[in-house]
Amino acid sequence: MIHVYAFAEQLEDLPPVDGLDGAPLERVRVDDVDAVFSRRTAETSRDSLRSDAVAHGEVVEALTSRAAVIAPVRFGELVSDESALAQSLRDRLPALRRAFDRVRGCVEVAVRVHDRAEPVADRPTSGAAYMRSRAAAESERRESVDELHRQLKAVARDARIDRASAAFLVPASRLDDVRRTVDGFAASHPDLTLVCTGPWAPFSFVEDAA
Amino acid sequence: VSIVESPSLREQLTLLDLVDRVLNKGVVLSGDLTLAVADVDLVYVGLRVLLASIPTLERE
Repeated sequence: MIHVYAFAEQLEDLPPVDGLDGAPLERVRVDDVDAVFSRRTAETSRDSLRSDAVAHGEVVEALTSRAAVIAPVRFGELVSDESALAQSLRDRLPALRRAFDRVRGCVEVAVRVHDRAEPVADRPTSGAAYMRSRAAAESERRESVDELHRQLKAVARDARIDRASAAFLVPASRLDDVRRTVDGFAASHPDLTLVCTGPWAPFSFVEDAA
Repeated sequence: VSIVESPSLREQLTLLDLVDRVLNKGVVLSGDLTLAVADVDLVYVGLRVLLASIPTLERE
């Protein structure tokens, strides 16, 4: 079986990193699009899941700087052999090209917002008062998070928002604007914990390239 | 909002976002493909615990 990492447009050389199980990276090309894969000699177990997932992510990361644009493949699926992969690539080429055009020049930024733990001393004594204050805090938090998402959407080309967890597709040239927006929001909301990571390959914006 | 100061916590959070993306996002292949991992959900739940404890970690 072979493990697929990503599809890449105009890929130069393969990056000097190993695939899963230390296997060398290989490629199969249709037109100017490569599927990058390696041969599996072991299976991912529960114990190796995290390190295998990180290795997959590192290959995707290494490909990013060597291709015009890439579409990462989700971890956890296997193809029987190279010819099946080439056929799969041919079948999805039009959809892949649309995905490439959508994410071209962009990176993904992840933003999650978490409540700070409530200080015990401020807790109201009656149940009803407690519920009221919880509801008010929750509604205030939601408005704040919506506001942050609105600000980031103004910079982003696309967004995937699932309650407090969001991904933004941002032109690489506007990363500084994202940083400023997040820093500004963080400074004015001491009650929230903000986790912002990236730039990532556009994992969340290629799902319809199937 | 607290800026995450601890390098190890920052590393963990970044790792969490990476693993989340790799396991849950990206192009989904289909047809002649089989799932290599059966218990992704279980591990993912384990990772969520880390998120829930962020404020606690930061106070330390």
